[in-house]
Amino acid sequence: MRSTLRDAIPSMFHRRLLLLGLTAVVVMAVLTGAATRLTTGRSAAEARAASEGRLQTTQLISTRRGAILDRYGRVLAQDEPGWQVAVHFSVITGEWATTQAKTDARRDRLAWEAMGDAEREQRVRDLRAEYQRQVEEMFRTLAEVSGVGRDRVRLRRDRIIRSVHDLQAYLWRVWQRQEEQQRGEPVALEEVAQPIGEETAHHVIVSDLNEAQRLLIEGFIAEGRQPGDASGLSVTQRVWREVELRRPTVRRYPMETIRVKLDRSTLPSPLASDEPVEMEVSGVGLHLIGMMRETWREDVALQPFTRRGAEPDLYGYRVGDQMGRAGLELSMEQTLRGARGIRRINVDTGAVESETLPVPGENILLSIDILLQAHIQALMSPSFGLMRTQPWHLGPDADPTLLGTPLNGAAVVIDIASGDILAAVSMPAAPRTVLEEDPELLWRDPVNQPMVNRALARPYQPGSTLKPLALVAAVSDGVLHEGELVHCAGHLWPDKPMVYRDWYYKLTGLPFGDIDGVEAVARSSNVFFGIMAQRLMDRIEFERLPWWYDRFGLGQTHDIALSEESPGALGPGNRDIQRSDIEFMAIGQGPVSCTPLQIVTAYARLVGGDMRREPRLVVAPEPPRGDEVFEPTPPGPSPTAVAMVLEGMRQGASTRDGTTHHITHDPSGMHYEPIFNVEGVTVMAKSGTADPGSRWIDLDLDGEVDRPDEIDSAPRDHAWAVVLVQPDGAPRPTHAVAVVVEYAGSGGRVAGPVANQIVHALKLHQYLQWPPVR
Amino acid sequence: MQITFQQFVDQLKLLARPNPAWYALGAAVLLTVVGVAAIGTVSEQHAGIQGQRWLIVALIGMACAILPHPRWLGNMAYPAMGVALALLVFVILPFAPRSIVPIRNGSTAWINLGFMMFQPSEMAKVSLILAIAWYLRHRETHRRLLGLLVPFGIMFVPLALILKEPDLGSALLLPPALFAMLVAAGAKLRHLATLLGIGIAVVAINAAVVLWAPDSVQVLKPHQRVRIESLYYQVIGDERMVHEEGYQQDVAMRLVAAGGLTGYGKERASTIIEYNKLPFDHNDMIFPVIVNRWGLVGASGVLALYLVLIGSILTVAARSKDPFARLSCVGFAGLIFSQATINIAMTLGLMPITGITLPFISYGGSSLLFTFIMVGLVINFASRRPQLLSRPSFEFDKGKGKGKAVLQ
Repeated sequence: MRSTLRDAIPSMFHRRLLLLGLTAVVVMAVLTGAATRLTTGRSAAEARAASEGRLQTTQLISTRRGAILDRYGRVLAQDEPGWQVAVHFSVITGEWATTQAKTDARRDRLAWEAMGDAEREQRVRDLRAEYQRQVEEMFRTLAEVSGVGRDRVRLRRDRIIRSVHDLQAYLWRVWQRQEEQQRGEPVALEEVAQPIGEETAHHVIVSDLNEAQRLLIEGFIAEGRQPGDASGLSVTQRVWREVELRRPTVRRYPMETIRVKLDRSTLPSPLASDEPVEMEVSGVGLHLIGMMRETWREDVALQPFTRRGAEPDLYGYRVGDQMGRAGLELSMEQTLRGARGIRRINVDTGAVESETLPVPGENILLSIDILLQAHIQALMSPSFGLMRTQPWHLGPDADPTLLGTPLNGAAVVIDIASGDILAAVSMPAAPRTVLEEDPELLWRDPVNQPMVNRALARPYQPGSTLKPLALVAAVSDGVLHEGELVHCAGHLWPDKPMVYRDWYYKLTGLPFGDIDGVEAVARSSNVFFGIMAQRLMDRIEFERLPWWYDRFGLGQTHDIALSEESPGALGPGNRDIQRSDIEFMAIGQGPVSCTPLQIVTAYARLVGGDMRREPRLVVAPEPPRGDEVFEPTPPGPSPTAVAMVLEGMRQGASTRDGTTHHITHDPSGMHYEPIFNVEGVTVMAKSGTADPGSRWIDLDLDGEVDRPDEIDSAPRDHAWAVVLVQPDGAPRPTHAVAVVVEYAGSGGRVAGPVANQIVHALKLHQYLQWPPVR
Repeated sequence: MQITFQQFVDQLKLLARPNPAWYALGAAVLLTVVGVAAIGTVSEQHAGIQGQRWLIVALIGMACAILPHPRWLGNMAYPAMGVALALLVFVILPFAPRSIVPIRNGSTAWINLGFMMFQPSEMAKVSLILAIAWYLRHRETHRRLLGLLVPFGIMFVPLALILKEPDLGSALLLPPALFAMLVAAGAKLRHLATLLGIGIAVVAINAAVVLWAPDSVQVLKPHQRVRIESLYYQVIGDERMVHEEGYQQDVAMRLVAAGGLTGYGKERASTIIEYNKLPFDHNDMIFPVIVNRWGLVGASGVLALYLVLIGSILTVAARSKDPFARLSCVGFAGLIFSQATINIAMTLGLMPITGITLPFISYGGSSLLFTFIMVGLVINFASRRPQLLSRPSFEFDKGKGKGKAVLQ
């Protein structure tokens, strides 16, 4: 072949030229092939989509968070038109000023190309200084127009930068882990370090602008968005191109502060007055409704709006989004939140290429009557008097310096027939104004812990409030008969006269003697119920009493849609239950604790005879409950037992010997007045005075018992009162009320008057009419 | 050397005779027109200057290159090389005034002449080719392996100075041009293959070191390393460097691919290129602009024009009897071909990104001037009458095989 070529082309030079020429043809063919491969087929379509995708700009459309309404449709929380001003992240960080300066510097490309690196840097620096000055001017304008002040705007900017950078670092680590799992080998952080969506987004700088403020800001933005080349605008105008007005995302709580008029004529005589008092209560329902906060990086990481290599999740979160922090705003977040809309606009043509409309969040209807809630909160305010230590709270030997001490506690009111929670008040209250301006004051108060919802999140030893349940167990199981007398010798255990005593024996040295179940409830005998516990253990089943308590709903949550709901305790948990445990559980001591919500639920089950009745806070949409397993309706308590309990409680509130009958104002007991004084209803009450053991106050908020002064070894008892209210004419009680006042003393004396005022409130709000009108 | 009026008139008459160089000129002008239109897609301002200023300057330069006799040009090759080397030394002097030798993109590759930014490396490329052609014209020493030392030595001087600027892109063009000249000059292919093999091995080892060796043994500079890394990751489909070092290449390839068969047209392509933020869109990255605007059809047309250009220049070399003209033409063809190939290959993802313009098409006065000077020289060589009784050049296989001795 070589010789053939030589024959054809005798000149070596020409043959070499041919070689070079053919090489050129081959190389060009390779390049043509590579260009063909790129410009045809799937890769071309993908590249076309990708490059044309750069012509799209994305606009997010805000959604409306669902409202929270009370049982009568009053708005407790809703998004209202309120304007926010958001600024692009690059402006917040100052990066925008640099980019603009570079763009401006390069605008005269010839001059730019004629410059050396040092000259270019200097030119950019010079231009940047002016841009940065104008950025600061824009932020100053925002601060002044919105009235929030420059310092707060600066703080806000710093927080945004910090949180975006935190999120970026966090997401990169998450992506790194994902990548490592996928590849099965270590991956350097740099390999996954892609820009996150928040770096190219706008962030809210000021909120809650009124119409006049909005118009002013809109004017600046309009100037910046004049059509045409941005280079024709002044620097100041150009900054405003990066500013967005947004609406409506302001969460308002219109019933947060309510003015309440309180009748004082029915108060215990030292506080009574013919003049009603008007009080303004703040933070009404806050423990239930909750509050909002900005998303944290963990929230965003759990359900991010921006997903690597995927379409955005419109239900997902971005930094700066609002989400529930506590209460229903948190636990019903998925229902309330809704989904953003998204609109893609072609920057070239201005046409909307695609649009997904936002999905508004669902409204939530509560069982709460917010006016009743406010009323109960007002009467439980220390300034009203009942929730301060009063002389009748204290025994004759008590420390007089305790007088006037504010008390904390909770009250829950439930409609027995429906299970609707009409009010659930926790004191001290937490006003939203304080929460917004100085949240640490509320979140980091170790003594009063105002952010704890004591109505359902803090379990207490229930004391004698469990005795009616023990009576129901004993009668229903046949270990006690109606009218059967049981001898109460003053103390339960013959060889231990100083423990497990009746209060009467402790006070007078005399036993109750032979009493029946009704009297035992009315006079709150410990020994009687200790004997009942023993009978249940010996004759039925060792753990029969805890089994009944479980049927009444103790030791479990009721899934009322609040994540902070506590199950309390039923049993020792970490060891086997002992005989003495059960004996103590009969009188609400030992290894049992519960919340006021659990107590009213237990009484509602008792009165209604329906052991599956659940309390209800959210009426609509119905919240999902736990794994529901079909079970046949368990047998309820025997009607005889219920009748005995109700009679015992009625006598407890209405006879001289009842523990919830009266309070005394002198040591002799001669000067007394009844606790309950509501006309037109029958009140059945049971008090509870529970020994809390010791009290731990986490003064240094470290979650550990590490200081001697954090332990109070002899605190006062928790005071309980449970009331069943039966309007005249009604066949059975219609409402149950539970009140607990922590570290306050005797249940009847401390919690009783509070419960009485709540019954007055129920009557005032027309819940105690028969037939019912509400 | 004096050119008499009669000689000038004779030369003009010779130029008027049809010859293959006219195809080269036609291809060069068409490529320049395509270039102006492509530049106009991304910057009307640059297109205006390229078409109205640099093209005229380049054509004047070309006209000047047409006239001198090749022998005179040969005599001037070494002095021109000397001037080019002096300028290359001047730009790398640390105390060179920055008003005259500014630092641009980290490189001191330009001299500010006031009316234009002059790139000595462009002059060095042309003068090097002329110098080597002058050196090799009557020699046989390059047929021995050691005899290759001198031409390579001549090349390494400007190569080292250009690398010192640093301007890797321009430096990369010198070896292929020299190789083409040595091939044409009759150097033994096995010698050249050995050298090429060594070169490829060095590149491969370097790439392997960059990709898999620890930092402590790296010899390349960090910015050179990341270019190799980004190409490697792009080739294996790993997008880790797409947003950083590989960004430029990624955007270039995306815009090429998006061009499809026929491209977007001017307005649409202009918008798409702007929003895709293609860096250096009017000079180094002009090929993606061409494909995005005119598609594969446009790209093929440009490649075809380069083939016509290269083919025409090589034909001029083939028809010429003057060894200096022959080798110069081969050198020019090799230089233009290598530059176009490297530029296009990097935008297609076949080579790492480096700063290199597309001849005749990219914006730039120096580049356009010296490429047209090369075309002018080719026309010059093509228009000369072959000297009678001239000795055949670079014919080293007389009497071998069955071929007859060549009489020219």
